[in-house]
Amino acid sequence: MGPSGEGASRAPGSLAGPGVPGSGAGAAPGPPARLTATHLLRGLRRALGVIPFGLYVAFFLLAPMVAVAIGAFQDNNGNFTRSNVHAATHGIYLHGFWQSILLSVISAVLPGILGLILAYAIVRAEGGNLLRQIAITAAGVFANFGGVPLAFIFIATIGSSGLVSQWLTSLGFDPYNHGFTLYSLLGVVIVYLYFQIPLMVLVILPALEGLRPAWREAAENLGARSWDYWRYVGGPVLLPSFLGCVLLLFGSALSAYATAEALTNGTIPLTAIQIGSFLNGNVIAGQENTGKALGLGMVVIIAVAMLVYVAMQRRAAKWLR
Amino acid sequence: MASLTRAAPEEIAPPGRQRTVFRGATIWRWTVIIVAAVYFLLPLWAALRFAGISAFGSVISEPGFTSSLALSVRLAVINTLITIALMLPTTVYVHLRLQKLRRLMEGSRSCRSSSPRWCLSWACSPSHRASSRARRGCLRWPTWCWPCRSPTAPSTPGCARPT
Amino acid sequence: MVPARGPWLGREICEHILAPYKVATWGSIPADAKAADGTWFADYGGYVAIGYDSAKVKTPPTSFADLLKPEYKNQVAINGNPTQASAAFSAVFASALANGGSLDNITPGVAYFKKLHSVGNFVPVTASAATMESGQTPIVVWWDYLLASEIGPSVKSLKIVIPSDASYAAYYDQAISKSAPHPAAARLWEEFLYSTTGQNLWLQGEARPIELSTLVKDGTVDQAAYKALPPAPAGSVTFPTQAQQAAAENIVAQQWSSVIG
Repeated sequence: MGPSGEGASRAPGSLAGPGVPGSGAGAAPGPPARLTATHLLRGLRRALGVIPFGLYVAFFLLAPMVAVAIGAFQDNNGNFTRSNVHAATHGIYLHGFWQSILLSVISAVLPGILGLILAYAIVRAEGGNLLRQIAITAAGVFANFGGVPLAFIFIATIGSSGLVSQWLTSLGFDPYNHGFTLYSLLGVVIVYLYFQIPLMVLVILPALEGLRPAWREAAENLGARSWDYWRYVGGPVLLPSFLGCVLLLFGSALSAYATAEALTNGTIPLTAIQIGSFLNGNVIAGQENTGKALGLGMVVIIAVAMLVYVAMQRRAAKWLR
Repeated sequence: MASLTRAAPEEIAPPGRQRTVFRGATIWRWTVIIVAAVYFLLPLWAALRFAGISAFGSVISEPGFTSSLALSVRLAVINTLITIALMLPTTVYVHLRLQKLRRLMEGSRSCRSSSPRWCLSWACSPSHRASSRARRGCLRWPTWCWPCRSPTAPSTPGCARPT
Repeated sequence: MVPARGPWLGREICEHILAPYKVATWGSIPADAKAADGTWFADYGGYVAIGYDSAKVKTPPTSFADLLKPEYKNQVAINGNPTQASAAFSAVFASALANGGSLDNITPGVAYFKKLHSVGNFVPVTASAATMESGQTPIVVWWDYLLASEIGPSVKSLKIVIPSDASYAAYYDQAISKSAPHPAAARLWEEFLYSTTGQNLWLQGEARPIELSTLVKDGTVDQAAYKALPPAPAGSVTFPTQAQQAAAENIVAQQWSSVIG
């Protein structure tokens, strides 16, 4: 076979990276592992390298999660109670969880698709390297935008007295008279796109560049049309990356607080804002443990999302093994 | 064979159709890029007009502006240095010696994305060495945030952002 | 010395950290604005008022009922999230009083804001001097003294009116911490705040001192500053008790996020 065959057969190996057997130095060949002192010592020595990271994870991730989990089941005097969790899973807080999940799913999948389209356009456009550089730098900047400044620039654009709203009104079509409002779930999604799309572009751009032209040629030679290429070659290669980034976007949207708070001031039930009300203490005081129960709920949601992701990732990356 | 020329698929099309396909695809790509540019830049311009140009001159002379800006920059630099010092060796080490921990690290990254985020800097994943173009792109990314990822195992940064 | 908003100091969590003290003018402070044992006592405050930019708002609103009119589309805002900001919470309480509610029942207040949103008049952003200046929120429901001192300097055409259908006032309290390093100095400071000079200083800061009625009766009030205040509604003010406040907060916490979603 010519170079196209070589390219196609090399694809799984090159992209699977650490999945390829024997590529990591961690693979230990030879006699079956026995729990001897040598093996233990070797294992410990290997683990030494990740101790700093382990400490970071323990202090900044596990300890707060454990503290929140414990606090969720305590009342103000430290006694065990299930009332916080009960309150957090009923009424307006349950509604808040559903709204937050809905918002996060939309704010993960929609920018995922839009970011993919944008990244593909950047990769294939003839601006060449300059366009790519500008796009990556801009994406890096916009991915970090958020909070009150982001809410402000959108209020200045499509708020009730924003630039675009006034321009449309002068053309005879006032969006606010026709049911549109920035201060709603739709508005929050539009604002979230601003930092979610660049994050997606940053992730998927290298993946798209990893798609060799040789594969496209090979597919064309075999009679595939554009759609067939994407369905059988491009799509499966991109899917694991895509799924990973969608999970990241989901978590990012779920935990975003300041932007939604600045836009809606609590008029939409979102878990992050409700937690803020408990912790803020200016009006509601003495109920921080209910806030911790809500936080525990968020951790559970993320854990479930990760399980879904792992299951989908296994299926998606199956053909690579 | 067509593959020897390493030509883009559109250019293999018969001459008559070639230019139409080429132009159609080009228009689509640039439309997408222009729409994206409008979406990202228009709010910034609207904010500029809302605030007024004069506000930018006066904000510098606001009391406390330079001190808070200096503090923010200091915090950002220290944050970035600590993150690089922690994550760069760890990632390289995990990739070279502890493959099994890779999934765990990705999992903890996703967990972190559900709490106040950190700007991670990850080393270029070695699977990129197979794709030299991607590696060139990786090395040229802005140094203050070095996101790098492999197509199969997304090791994505969760960049710090005011949430 | 611990100045704090309204019923905060009355909560059980605070009582054990306060040292009782009764200032010389203790008798001039209304009974429901102080703790009987002298642990805390109200000092200055104001009414929930409607502030509007008269240059942009052609028909002056005078009550909460007025704000529902269509000419105020996308113009009315409060200062924050009522589950997090006391000023916003008080605006909701005042609107409850205007709509058939009472100090025991804040539900009509939340319903009012739901209605305000459904007719398109409510803007959920946090109102401030900047939002009024830029024209984003020409009408703000906030404390009268904060409207005067925070927005007044930058919006020259600001007018403040206390709504005719609801009078809800709240006062900042004073208290002395049990572990104060200089308790005598703290007490002396409290005496100054409650002297005629001190109370008139609050008046010059466009807030209402708690002993205002006594000052007016005795003729010791600063007339110029007194005239500059928006006219207060007739009758005395009733403050919500601890229990009423706590119940209202719980209702707002449960219902506020249903205003839009």
